[in-house]
Amino acid sequence: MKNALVLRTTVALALSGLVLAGCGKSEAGSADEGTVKVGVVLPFSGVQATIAKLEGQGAEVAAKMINDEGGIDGQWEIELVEVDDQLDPARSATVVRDLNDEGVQLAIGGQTSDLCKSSAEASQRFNLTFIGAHCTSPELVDPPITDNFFMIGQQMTDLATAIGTGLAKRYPDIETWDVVTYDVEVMRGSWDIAKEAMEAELGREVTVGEQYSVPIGATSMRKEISGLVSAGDKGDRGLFLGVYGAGTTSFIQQAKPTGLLDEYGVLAQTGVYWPTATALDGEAPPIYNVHDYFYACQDDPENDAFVAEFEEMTGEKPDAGAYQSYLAIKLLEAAVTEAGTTDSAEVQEALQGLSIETPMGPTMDIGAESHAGKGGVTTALLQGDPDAPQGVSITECDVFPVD
Amino acid sequence: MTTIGRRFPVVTRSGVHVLIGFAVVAVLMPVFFGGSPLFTWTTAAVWVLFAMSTSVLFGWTGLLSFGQAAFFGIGAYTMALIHENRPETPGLVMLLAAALVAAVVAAVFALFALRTSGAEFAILTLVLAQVLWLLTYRVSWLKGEDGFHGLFSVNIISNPLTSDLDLWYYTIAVVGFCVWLLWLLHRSTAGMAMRAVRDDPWRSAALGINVRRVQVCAFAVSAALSAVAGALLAQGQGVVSPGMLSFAISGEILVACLIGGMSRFGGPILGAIVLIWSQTLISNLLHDSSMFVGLLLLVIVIALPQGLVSLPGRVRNRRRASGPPSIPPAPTGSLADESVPDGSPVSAGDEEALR
Repeated sequence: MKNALVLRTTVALALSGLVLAGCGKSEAGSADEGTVKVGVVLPFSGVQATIAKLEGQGAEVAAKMINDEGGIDGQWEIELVEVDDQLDPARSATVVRDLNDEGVQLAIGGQTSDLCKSSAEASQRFNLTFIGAHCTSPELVDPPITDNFFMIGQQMTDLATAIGTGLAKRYPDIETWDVVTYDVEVMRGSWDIAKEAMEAELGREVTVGEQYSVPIGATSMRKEISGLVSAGDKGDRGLFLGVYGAGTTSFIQQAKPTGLLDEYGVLAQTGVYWPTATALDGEAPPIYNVHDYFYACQDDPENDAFVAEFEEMTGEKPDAGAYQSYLAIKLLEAAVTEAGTTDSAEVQEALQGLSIETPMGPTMDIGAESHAGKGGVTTALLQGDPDAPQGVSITECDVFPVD
Repeated sequence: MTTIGRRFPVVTRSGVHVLIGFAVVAVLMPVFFGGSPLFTWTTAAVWVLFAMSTSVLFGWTGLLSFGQAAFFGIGAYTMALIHENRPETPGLVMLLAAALVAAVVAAVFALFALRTSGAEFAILTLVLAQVLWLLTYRVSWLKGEDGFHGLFSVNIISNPLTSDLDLWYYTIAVVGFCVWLLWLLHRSTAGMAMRAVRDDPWRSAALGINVRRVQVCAFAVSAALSAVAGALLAQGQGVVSPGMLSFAISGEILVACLIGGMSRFGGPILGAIVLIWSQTLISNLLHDSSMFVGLLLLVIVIALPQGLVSLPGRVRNRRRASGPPSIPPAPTGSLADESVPDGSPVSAGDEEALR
């Protein structure tokens, strides 16, 4: 009897909790005078939680810096509303609705192309302005997938062109390139674009040695590594990696015992390397990498202020993801200032064709028709160094403005 | 037979009560919920259909599939491809096309895969889903990680859905209709044949049931309705991406079936609703919600091996056990002596539902 009572009570509580949690027709909360709510849609849980945390902190730093100076145009303090899309497009469609329910009309985020698409489509329902800060697919812009969507992550075409040009300038003696990429069009294509840029810079053809494509998400690359090991003398060869995330870590861990990483004239990678390099505690092999931003490559007062503020808040240096979030918030600040209002439709209009100064040097220009942000791309050599901040030194920096 | 079933056999046979139930839910939900919660109910409705279709295979026919996401994804991708090439096609036609494509793929696959059984069959279904997932990256017109977008603008008859309220009515209408079809199937000779095949394929064959044909049909029906669910979700979220074919989706839908329980027709409905709402509510409260959702679901499955639908029966039984004996002990061999696997006795009413 007692058990039955407990059971009934539990069920009743669970059901009433369910009803109470979702109950009450939600109404769009109005923004308080002097405050503007900005949504941050990122996968704060799951496999990309570490990256998302840094990205969220980039937005927090930007909001703090703006609020410390009196808010946007001295009128509106930024209040960030963070929501977790769990790296799931279905979930991102839900959390965008949560934002709308909370009266949020401006948002940033979007870790991957499908998440940017899902968030953009959902936010279009409410004409919520959405800046895709971290997605990079050219498919999303020019024309934009929805009128309310803008993208500031630099596209793979620009990243691959920059690394190809940078490699040709820095390592002109490399004759042959071995290639390992994920077996997806964008990563295979990144090598093709980089090779083309190299050849344009060098004025000669580049020889391709061993070339492997591994399934996306693959964590065992022993077969490919054996092939590379048996490829002969590597002094004048380079290795181009078109993998990222766990793929980079797996490749490094499996290749290290073979001595392969020390033999190549240069290692290059188009995917993100910073999180892997810092995780290797000063032991990261030197890899020539490309991304929107490396904190040590920009000699600019705004960058110094951003890095200092970020370090004070988190105890770490900002990575490219943190920079992208920072930039997205700064763009919204500029657009709201330009529009003179926080109204979403007017902010969208102001964003079209907007230009702002960035901490990395080149300006960020938002295409009036394309809704794509053209800024700059940075290449640098990242190498494990126990004495460097977070165990990674950043040298051989080049900044390439994107046309 | 239930009380309603005894009093109104025509209603039960024709499944009118299923249609009325969905109609009531369709009208009531927007009264109590709006904004994000209403969208969550829309997502839950899609998962209800997905869970019910999975139950045709897993619960009714006894075939375990680890690759149900394959058909969920086929539905979504079929809709996306039709929308890209012929955007003027009405949404309902797209749903039919999605169901047809998935049913054909499933039937052809099942004809070969059903030469195996048990774990081997389950692994083959997993392989099918993984192959399709890989194809989305390898075949250029499936657009890899980028996937498809713009499915909000699918015309339902002549106009697209312009609000979440429209989306709710449309989704619940399609789901209600499909669940009604499943009710009719469940009560039909074909439905009984499926359950007979599940309980004892050898005896079923001896009784003249073509076991292979029944299994292939069940697989095709399950795939077709899973595809409709996938296409509905694609419309709801506006995008289609390879994630819809992932193993996580196949796993989650099996969990939904287990939570609700498959001993009653409505078990998977309950399971899908609990799964979607627990995911949503817990993730609103906690950052690392997946682990807590997993724990909650684990507790439910361990505490109620027959699923949430067995909860009222268990409560009744415990009440009877703790109260004064009002019914004389049943003679040996009666239904009350039979036990379900978790050890709880089965009442006559429960026994009917278990069939």
